[in-house]
Amino acid sequence: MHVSVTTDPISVAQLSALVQSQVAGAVVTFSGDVRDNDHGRSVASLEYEAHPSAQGILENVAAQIADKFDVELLAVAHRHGPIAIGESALVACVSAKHRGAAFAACSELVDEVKNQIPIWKHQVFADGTEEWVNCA
Amino acid sequence: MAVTVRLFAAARSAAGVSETNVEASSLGDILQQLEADFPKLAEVLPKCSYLVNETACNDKAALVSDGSTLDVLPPFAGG
Repeated sequence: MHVSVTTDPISVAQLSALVQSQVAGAVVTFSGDVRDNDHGRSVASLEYEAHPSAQGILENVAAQIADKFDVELLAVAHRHGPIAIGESALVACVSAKHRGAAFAACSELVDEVKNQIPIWKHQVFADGTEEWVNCA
Repeated sequence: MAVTVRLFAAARSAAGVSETNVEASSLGDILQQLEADFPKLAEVLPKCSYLVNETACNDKAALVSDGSTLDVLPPFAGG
């Protein structure tokens, strides 16, 4: 199981390759990318901030999902620091024997990461205003 | 009781500092002291959750021992 909270760019292809297995017939990958818009407003730049506990929390979430679903391999990475529009902020990859388990596990993994990981998002809009997402 | 307070994200922005020290004995006392020291935190603190020495603590009556560290966590926005 690969789990990382990192300031480095995340490669979807590299993470997906980590979950490939000869016993797995399904690989589901999710990439949460930085958008140039939010609630109809144009976003100029975006930066994530991570609490020091974020890596440990992400490891716990990944373990919960691996226990709950019949998956073969799982990899998840969350990036922090400044991230350019179009780049990945959160990538989750799951392999399983069949697609049902892979889709379900990947979907719940992403939901639980978003719920539990102590990471914050600060965005600056094209008009120069700024906000902390979920805290405005 | 001397408590070190670490402020993250929107809480840091509102206070203008990432760390401060307060004299207080309960979580509720600490939060009152923070609002007195940094009035702009009044908008953010009601939305926050808290860690005392790295363990979740959201009971305002909880007593905090001398030398503790309190982390102020605004609502998460990962993903």
